[in-house]
Amino acid sequence: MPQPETGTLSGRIYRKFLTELAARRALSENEYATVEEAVNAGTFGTEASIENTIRIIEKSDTENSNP
Amino acid sequence: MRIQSGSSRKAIPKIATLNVSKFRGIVDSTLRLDGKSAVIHGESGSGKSSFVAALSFFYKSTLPGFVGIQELSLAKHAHHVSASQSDVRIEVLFEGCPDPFCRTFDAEPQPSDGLSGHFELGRQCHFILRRADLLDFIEARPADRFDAIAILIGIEGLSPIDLLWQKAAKDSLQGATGAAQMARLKQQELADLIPNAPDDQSRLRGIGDRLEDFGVQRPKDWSSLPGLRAKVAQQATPPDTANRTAELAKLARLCGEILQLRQSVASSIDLEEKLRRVRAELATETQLTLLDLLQLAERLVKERPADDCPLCGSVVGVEELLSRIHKKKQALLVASELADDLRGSKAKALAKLQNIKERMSEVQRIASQAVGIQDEVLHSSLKSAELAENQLSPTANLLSVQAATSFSQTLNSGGFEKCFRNLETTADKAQNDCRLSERGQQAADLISFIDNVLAARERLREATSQQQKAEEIAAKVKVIADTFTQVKREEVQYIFDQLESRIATYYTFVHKGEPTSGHRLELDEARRASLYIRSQFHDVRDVDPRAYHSEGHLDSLGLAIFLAFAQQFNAGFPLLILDDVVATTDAQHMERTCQLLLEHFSDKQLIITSHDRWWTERLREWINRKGKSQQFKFIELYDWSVQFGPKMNEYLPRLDRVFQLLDNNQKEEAAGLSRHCLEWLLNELTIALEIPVARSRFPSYDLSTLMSPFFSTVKKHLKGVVASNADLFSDFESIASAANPLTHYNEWAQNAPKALVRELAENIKALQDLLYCDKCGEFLTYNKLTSKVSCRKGCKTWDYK
Repeated sequence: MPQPETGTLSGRIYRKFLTELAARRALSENEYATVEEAVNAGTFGTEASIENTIRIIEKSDTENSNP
Repeated sequence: MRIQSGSSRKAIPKIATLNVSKFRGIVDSTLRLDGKSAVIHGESGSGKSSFVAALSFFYKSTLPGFVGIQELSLAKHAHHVSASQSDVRIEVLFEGCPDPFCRTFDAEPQPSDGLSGHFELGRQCHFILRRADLLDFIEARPADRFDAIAILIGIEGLSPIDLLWQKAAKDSLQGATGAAQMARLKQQELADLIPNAPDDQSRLRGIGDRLEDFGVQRPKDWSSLPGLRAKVAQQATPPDTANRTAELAKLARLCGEILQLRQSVASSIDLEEKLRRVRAELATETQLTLLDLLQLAERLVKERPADDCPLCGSVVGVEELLSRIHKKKQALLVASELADDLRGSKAKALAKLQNIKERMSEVQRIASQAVGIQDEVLHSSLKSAELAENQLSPTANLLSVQAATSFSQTLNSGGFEKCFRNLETTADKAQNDCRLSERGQQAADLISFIDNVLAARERLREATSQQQKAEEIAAKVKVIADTFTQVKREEVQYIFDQLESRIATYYTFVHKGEPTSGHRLELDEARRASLYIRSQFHDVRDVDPRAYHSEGHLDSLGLAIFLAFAQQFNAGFPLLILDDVVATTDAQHMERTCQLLLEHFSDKQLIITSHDRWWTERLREWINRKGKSQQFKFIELYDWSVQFGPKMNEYLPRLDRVFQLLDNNQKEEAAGLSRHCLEWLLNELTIALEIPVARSRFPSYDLSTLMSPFFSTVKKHLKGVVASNADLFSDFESIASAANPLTHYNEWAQNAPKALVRELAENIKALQDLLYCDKCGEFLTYNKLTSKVSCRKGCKTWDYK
């Protein structure tokens, strides 16, 4: 998975996705950080990354925290 | 192709020369462009597309015409038919560069840092448009069209991400559904113990009723129940007996329930049949994760036409390879649906398994504590249940069900049934042995009731908590997946909307004032990646253009879409190649297409190929009229042979070529070409003036068929014109009558004076000038309604009497 390049359409989609995800206030700070980290590492959407995100949500006690 | 920020664009290198050796139909030829745009004219088979293919190979290592065509491969068929792969050499010299860049089969160009970006853009972006590509795109299925566009705009890597997150959302939702089912089971257990008590308060009231009946006070809350239970136990003699009796009653009840549940649970967790159906669609279980790989392979095969499989290296036709990949993908899609079904069944089976396992654990505890039994079958059955539970969990491998099957067999075994029947009998017998008084028995029953309610309430609490967590996970995963899908869709649609105005500009530029417009590229909301094209046809909006548009209009639409993408995404790449894409446009639309290219793509180095001489001549005239001739090279590929490849010249209109040949004393060639010019001219004029000629089986008409009707009609109906150009018509008839022998009989032609051939050519030119309007770029046409012969704008108008 390529790291999102600044100035590319896919890079813009990733950035807007993170902004939109934050605006929806559905994830806790920790959960959002996990997604953001995967995007920046270029692993967002791999099976391992998805499983990791779900594990973080499972462990999370707080609900609907605004990142 | 990537969208560039474009703030610091470097000087764009344009091609000065292109030398091609032993490639396709070219033996060794050089196109000298000097950084200018080029119009390359040549009949079919003259080698035009070989130059285009050479540039495709140079930048992209592909041959677009070979993609997806069975048995054709770059490795086997790109080189000249008389040469070998190692002989191929493509050299491109850029303006301002001292040395050319070379591409062979063994080596790619090695650009310096300053040009590496240019080569990367060339590799990524789509700068060649072929006529076949136009119609393929318009005619493609919406999903394939989206894939094509995704590659064009550089987001092809996002589709698998989208797919995997949506799959994760679906899996999480199924996990939540399973947890909800488990919670409902636990609720039912509690409801069985205290009927008509839907909530905690009413349940507490139900327990209070039983306690009150027994003579003990009602509980204030749930925390007071253990104390009240102890009071009940004290009512029995001795108190421990009541506790023990309650435990034994519970043991007997649980054993009965387990024996009742086991067959239903056993059938639910036996998933071998469902797994068999999934496996039937897959050669091996690892293929379930191969969908992405197959999609990648499909793209690789299309982009890298070769007859060897990029995955395993075995030799196989490209078409066959694509067909195999398609079959595998279809199998995976079917398998995916079956896998979803299996996943759902596993979630339901897990809920049932946990239900019976909890009872078994409780039985094990009571049996050990109350009757001192530690049954080996029960112990091993619980171990088996644990293994099955792990295997049925949502995080376990979907395709592993052996432990669940094994536990299913355990449940159905005689040993299992015998174990629980024995324990049930033992519990009943032990209860009888307790010999409780009636009051003691009532106390034991009440204690058992309270214990069961408390345990069931705790299980419900846990199941509800798990359900909430699973629903929370499902909701959050869905938010992530949906947000990504939505943002991607919005951004792509935004790009399309941006392109929409550009497409409209380009299309209406060519088809100004026509009732076909309003073209939209539209993503299907209901589908993840499907692209539809919608148009307006007269007053009807949102129609599929394929249903109503002519081939010429579809060509223009495809061209407008390609040009819009090229303008949007190829900003840093100078080359734009249109390979015979204007074949179906008429004169008027052709001229507008040229105007569009010159006005909107003046920063590009255009390479336009055409087999249509008339089109090329009009384009040349038009470019000259606009004073842009210095920006273009006109090249004619006038002959081709397998030994020498294409022969080329600077392009000249045919009549100009006749005069050039005469100046070079090539009289016979000049005579032959002048006859072709005259045939072509008379053919055009008889069409424009609607002069009937003898029908011919073949599309070409010779001089004898055309001359007589043309001159007799003109003399009869355009007397004024003939009178005012009497010399021309008089000379023309006498000279033209010599045209046939001039060109047909070599001896005659050899002996004919050069002056006669020149006179013929001059007369042809004079006739053309008379009946052609330079401003409108067309021959004068006959209008029956007005009885006039005129051009479109009426610059020249004559009465037709």
